[in-house]
Amino acid sequence: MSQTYINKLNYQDFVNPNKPNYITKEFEKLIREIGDCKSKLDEDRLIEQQIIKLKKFTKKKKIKPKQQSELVLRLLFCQLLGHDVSFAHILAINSSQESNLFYKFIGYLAASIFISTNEDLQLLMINSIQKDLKSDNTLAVSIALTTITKIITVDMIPAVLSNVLILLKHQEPLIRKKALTAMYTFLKQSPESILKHQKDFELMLDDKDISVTGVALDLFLFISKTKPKTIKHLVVSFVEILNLIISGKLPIEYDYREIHAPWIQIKLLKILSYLGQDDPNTSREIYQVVQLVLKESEIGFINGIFAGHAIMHECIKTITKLYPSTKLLELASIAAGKFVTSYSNNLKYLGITALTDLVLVYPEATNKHQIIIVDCLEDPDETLKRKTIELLFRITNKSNISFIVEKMLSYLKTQKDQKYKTSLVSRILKLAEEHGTNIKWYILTINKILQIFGDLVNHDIVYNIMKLISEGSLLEDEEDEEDEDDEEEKESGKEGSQLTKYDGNTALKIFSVNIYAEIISLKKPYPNILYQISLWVAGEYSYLCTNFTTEEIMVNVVDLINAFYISDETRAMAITALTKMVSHSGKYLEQIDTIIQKYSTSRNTDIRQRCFEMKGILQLPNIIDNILPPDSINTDIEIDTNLEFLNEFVENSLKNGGKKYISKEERIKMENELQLGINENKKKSKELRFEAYQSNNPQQSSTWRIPQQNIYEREVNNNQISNTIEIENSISLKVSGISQRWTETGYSGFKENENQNIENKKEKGEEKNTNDNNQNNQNNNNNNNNNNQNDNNDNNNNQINQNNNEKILDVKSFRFNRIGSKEPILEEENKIQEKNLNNDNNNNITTIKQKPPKTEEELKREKTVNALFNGVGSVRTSRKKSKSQKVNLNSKHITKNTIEKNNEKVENLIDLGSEKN
Amino acid sequence: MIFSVLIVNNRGKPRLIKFYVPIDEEKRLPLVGAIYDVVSQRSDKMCNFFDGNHIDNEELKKWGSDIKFIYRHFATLYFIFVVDGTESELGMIDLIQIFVESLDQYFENVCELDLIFHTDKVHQILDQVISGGLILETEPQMILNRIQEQDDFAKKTKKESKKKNKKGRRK
Repeated sequence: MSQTYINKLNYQDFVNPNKPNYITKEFEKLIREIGDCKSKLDEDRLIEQQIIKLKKFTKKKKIKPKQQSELVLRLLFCQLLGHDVSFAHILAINSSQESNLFYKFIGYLAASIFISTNEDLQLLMINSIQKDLKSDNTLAVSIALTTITKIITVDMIPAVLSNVLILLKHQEPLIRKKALTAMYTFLKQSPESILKHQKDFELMLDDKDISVTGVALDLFLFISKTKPKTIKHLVVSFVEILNLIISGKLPIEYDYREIHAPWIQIKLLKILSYLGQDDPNTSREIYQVVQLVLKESEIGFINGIFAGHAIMHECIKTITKLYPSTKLLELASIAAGKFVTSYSNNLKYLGITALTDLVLVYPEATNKHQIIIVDCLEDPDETLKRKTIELLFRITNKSNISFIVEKMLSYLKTQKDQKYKTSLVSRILKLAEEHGTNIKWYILTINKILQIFGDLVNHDIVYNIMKLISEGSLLEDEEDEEDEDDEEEKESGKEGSQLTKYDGNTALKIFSVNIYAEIISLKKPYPNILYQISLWVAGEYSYLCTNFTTEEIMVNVVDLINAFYISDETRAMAITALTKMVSHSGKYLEQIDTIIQKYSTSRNTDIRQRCFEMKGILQLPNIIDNILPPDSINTDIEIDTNLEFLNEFVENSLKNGGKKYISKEERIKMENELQLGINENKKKSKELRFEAYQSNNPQQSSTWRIPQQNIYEREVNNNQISNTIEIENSISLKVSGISQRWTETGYSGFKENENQNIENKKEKGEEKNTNDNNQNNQNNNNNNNNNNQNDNNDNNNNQINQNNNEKILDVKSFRFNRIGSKEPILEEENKIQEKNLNNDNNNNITTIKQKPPKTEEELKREKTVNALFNGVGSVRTSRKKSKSQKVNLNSKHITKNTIEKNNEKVENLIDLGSEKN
Repeated sequence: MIFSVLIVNNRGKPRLIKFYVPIDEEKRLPLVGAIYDVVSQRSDKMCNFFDGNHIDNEELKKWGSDIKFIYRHFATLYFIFVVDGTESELGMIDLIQIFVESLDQYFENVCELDLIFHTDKVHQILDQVISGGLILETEPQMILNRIQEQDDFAKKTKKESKKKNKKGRRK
């Protein structure tokens, strides 16, 4: 109602003089002002004012009943608008104790609204309720019973139960009905104590007034839902009542638009459906009457009365629940068809819900209406669409899957609710997996889904598809079928004949590589997930492709790498795919050089790493097939978890005085002992202990510094080898006074580069063999990088090696899977392989780069530190270190120093190594 | 069972809130608001029901999993019934019809203002149709008779009390 309407009309206009009214001028003014309010704030202010006024009234000791009930009405109004009026609840209770029935009613009404959850006040009400239940005045009794249904709690039941039981036999049907509703409230709250009185309700079924029976049925409905076995003996009575109603022998006042007592019929059908569930004997008793009711309700259906439809709908639901009877199920499906084909959305909706249940017991039900059901997806009503989708999920089978999935996808395109969309996409994928008989169709459908909804799909699907393509097989007959069905397939008859030459698995690979190569060639901004699958398939099976040559695919992939719409992750995978294609085909493109050049300096470490990998692999044409064999996904790779090939190496270093590997338990022991020692000489150790920069690598402990690393790296690329020696020399530079806090966390990040570190050192060794013998031997020990550290440091290095071993164990369980950067282990594994090869090929080069004498190092460090910090003390925290890195970006000399600190970085060294190659 | 009967106007202002299950006072309006949000976005051509899963409300989840909303839109008002699986959707539509018919006959062309000025009467009529979440009476004439009976009785007691007062003064 608009505000203007309130303003124009006079108060007198709505006050009917014939009806009792207690609205005062003041209340009327309030209502009017609130109608005028333009904002919620204004409204709140007005109500606040009103509440202050009301509070004053409540403090008065004596209020006239009339005024009191007027106040209560005002309170109700304030409460309706969402304000707290708990201060005046007592007014409502007082009002309910008035003798005048009208005030009493208002009091009870307000009390039931205000205090439905406040137990203290509920107890206050009990007294007046008990009194009114015994009253001679039926109206008072009726009001009291209504209030009971609203405020009663479990504790209060015994106080009123006996009175209510007496009222069940009251002469007025209204009171009997209300007493029954009160019993229903009790029953819901404490079923056990009320079920003792079940005999009393059973008597009510034979009541003279059918509407009383109707209310009693509600109680039985509750029982039939929770404990159906206790009332099985009443089935006969229920059937009798139902027969009585549909025979039309009831007085005319119970008819609603020519239908006999529709609500009671509905309730009876509900009860019967619960009783007949999973019970053939009871069901047989019910069949006949349900059939009769269904027939009767058709008359109502023709006249277009909702109540008639309601009964029919209920019949369908009942038949669905009863023990199946083919005859009835057939009738039900015909009736459901009437609902579905109706023009009213309400009926369509109910028809669809009825069918959703019906198909579970009677799958043929939807056969005739499939087209109408699918058409419901084009209805503007969202609720109807969602119900239809539910139904479609149930009726999908092998013959209609392609049609239904297509319809669902077109519906999905219009859907805006992201959450619902996501769940639906995953359900459709599942559906396609379950019912799709044809692998070709499945792959094409998945591609279609990924093209549009790729962002919503769980990444598991990628692995499923990959597994399917690598292991799945096209069946012979399926191919034939496909050839017949698919005209496109016929056109390219050559392929058809070619396909049959191969076994099923190869045929599938050829089919899929053709599809995915085409997707790559389209160069559209599809979701990354689709490109990731395509790139993997293209990389693995490019040599099988019949529609494109490998060169064509490579050109397309190169174009894709340069495209702006793919993510870095996809780009990295594209580079790997390119590497695979080159190694499988032995063909090389000039563009690859530009790619390597361009992305070797990428900000993304993964891309960079893959670039270097590719560069490295391409330079080793002899072993290229060993690194990336065709169809590697189906070949398990054996991994030497004991690293036996290093035994000789370890022995050598032990001979030359290297330290022995210490197991974890021993190490912990040693650490504890060491800790004790440190505690003893706390002060001394603080001053004297030195730790290497590299082991405290600050970049490892917090990821945000990584970009900085890239900048250095670029500079290194420019500066080239001239700096290498100096970098090498200072690899184990240390900073004095860095305390133990660096131990655990500082090293934990270290492990990632461990493998590479070793490898790099080997590579560098090629150039520099002029090493101090003793030092060299120590470094040769694979388990220890820097033996010239103090004990603590040493221990940690051991720990890292332990971690490294654990990682390799992980690799064992990992299925070798060249898809993407997701598995860091994979890369390490590659590294191990490479390292392996390096070892085999260059047996001579086993030495590791040397380290300059300790004293020299320290001098150098002191110099640089002084240069950097203008003589600021040598004790620096990690933060300060990183700061210094930032500050000194400009100076070449200083950059070198900063690199020294981080020179474990793989990229630098790989780069240097490859330069040497 | 019927859990709640709500009357909300087109702008979301509640005109009648009735719950047949205990619910804390502060949780009532948010629930009504959430229901109104869904109802108000539905066009008149759409069907008159929707499921409980359309609304994310903790109080609603307590009531069960098969909650349904049945509503009708008359002029400026939405009449919304919240029921569970034991009630028939179409039956509820007709019940709303009965309730509105009764209001209409009692107030002679009912409008939103009647509901504001006669809150108590609206509650009384509703109590005749539904009690404790159960359908009590489905015949509008019977409902009106009962209300009339109550009104007459109230008038009678009023007169009697006035007479008593007069007598008291004379004495």
